Amino acid sequence: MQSLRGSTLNPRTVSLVDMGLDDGDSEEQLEIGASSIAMGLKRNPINPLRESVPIAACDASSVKIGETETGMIFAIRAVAVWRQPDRIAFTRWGPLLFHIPNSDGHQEKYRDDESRAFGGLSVKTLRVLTKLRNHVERWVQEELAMSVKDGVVLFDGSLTAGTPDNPSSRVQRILSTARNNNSIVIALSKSTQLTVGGKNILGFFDAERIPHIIDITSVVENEYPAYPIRFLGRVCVSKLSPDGFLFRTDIDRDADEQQALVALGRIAGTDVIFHGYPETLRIAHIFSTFTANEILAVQRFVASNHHVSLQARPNLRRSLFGPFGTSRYVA
Amino acid sequence: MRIYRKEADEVQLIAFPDEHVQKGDYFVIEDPAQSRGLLVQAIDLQYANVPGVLEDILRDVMTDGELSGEDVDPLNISSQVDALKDTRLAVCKIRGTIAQDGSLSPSTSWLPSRTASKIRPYAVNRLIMNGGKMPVKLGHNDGEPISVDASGLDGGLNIITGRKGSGKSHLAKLLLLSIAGWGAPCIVLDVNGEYINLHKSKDGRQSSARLTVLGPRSGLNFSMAKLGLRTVAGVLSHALDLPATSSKVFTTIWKDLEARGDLTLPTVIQAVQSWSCHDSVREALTSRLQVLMESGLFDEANPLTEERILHTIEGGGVLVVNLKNQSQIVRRILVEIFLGELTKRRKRTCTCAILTGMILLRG
Repeated sequence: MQSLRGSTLNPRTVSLVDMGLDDGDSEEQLEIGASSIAMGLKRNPINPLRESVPIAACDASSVKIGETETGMIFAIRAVAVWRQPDRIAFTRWGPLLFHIPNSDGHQEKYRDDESRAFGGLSVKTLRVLTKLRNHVERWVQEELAMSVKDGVVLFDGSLTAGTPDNPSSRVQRILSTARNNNSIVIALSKSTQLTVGGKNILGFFDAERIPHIIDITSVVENEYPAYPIRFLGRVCVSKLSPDGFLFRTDIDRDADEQQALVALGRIAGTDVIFHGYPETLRIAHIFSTFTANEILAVQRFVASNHHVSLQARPNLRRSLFGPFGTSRYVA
Repeated sequence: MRIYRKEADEVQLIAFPDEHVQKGDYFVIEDPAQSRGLLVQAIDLQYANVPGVLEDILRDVMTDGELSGEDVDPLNISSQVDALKDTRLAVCKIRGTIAQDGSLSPSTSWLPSRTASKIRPYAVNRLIMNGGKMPVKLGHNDGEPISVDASGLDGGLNIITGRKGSGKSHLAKLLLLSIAGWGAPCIVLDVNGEYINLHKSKDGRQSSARLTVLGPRSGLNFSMAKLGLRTVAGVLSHALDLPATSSKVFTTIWKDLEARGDLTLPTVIQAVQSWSCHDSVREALTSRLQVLMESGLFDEANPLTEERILHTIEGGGVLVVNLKNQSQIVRRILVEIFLGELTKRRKRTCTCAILTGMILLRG
């Protein structure tokens, strides 16, 4: 970022409504055959276990700070939260700032029609950003896997890996470290693209009131080739509380069904479950999210520390279309 | 500091945590392109409405209880976040414009540049017109004598404000005695009776001020004819809320009595009783005229003449109208009478002395 000295920064606008990039929930859409559902998947009830075990969670988020003459500046932050019997502790890393140049001399690798497809970001920028964020998040996950013993480690997202942005070897290493510490890794996704007949899979099982889990691994795996995408966890759909939402839940494959049920029971019994979502993971998300105030502070930091002048370019969409000129996908 | 916005005679300034701003402070917003500065005074301090502050605070609150942790912030951006949270908005009143030569004018309708202007504190004692043609000594500030130019007070409405016990009355008396000393005629409408001994010092010695104290039933008497229709009609309308319709009837009655040379308060009351008009008009007039009668301010036999008032205050005399223990109605009537008489006099007089008068309304 030293090379930015003397240049200009077009700061992003901040508002309470249009706020930011996704934070890693994206996954590919997958249509599961209706016949698989018709086969009748087994529903296992989750019994809350009042055993006090260490529960830890982590999350990371990224946000665009502004555009420079040569690229974009992003900030990334990651949080780890530990729930202990008498308190909850957290460590937050960041904001870490990155300037992603528009061009690295390999533009021919990316299709022109994909440029600016993702909320004003080019494919290349999005991939670099995703890589960076994943890298930071995986680092925190490694720390948790090393530090939590005989407990449960919660990740945001899934245990699907195998892309260049998300190498499976690293995820496997994390899972292995956790196992060595007698801990189990569970990943919860706030949204999923798994569908059956065009309908989101979470809609099929929502009617059931009692906490339960349904393993849909076999159904999902059948739709994918073995490589490069690898499901390092068993893909499930779970509801942790009677009034809670359904979440896609990936559990370390090495854990058998009984171990998985015990781990989920411990979460349900130890952690506070907020609309079906573990409070520890919820706190991690809240603390990793950038507020408008923080984005302004980062912009201020960049302007003063890197001697960059802030020059807000007019928003073309707003100029042309007024209040109808917003896109919820604009970063 | 930066200019945020201007609305009418108010300017809002953004002040960062390291910038010292207090309510009452003066600042000058200097626009180099226009070679002048806008003089403003902070009248209120608020937190700047920065987006996302509420979310930050709500999140901070979570750490007050069982949640505790550590921030690894290598770039120390949290200090910038805190600075934004503590950024303040100073709501300032525009007091005037300072020209390049340092003179102050009441102009407030121009806009200094938001980007190029510099904002700096302005020492309030620079606003005091020390010395001048007719210096009035007020005291000392940090060892330096402070005086104001009495001629600078002329021609405008001057208001002394301050909290209880801050010295408003003392300053007013100081100014009064000083400008009287410069030969200005002064009239004081003294609501609390605290000016009646103005000519005496604490130790009982008399000052050189020529003080005359009058009050209702104590030398302060008027006659209808001497006051005139305009003044009396003004008293009835403004002090006693006489409706316009009744005021028109009163004017007719007045002119009739005036033509007959029989214009006194009792004759007016009598005329109203027998005048051909609506009962409600008659009642409206009668009730108000009775209030005038009972006020004790009208004595046709021995009225206070304009000449006598002028003689009292000319050449630096002070006329104190003692309104202590008088009802609100009597006070309003007297204020209306004096304003009416002074207006009459100003219209008749072609030339004025530098100091034409000072009316103090205390209370």
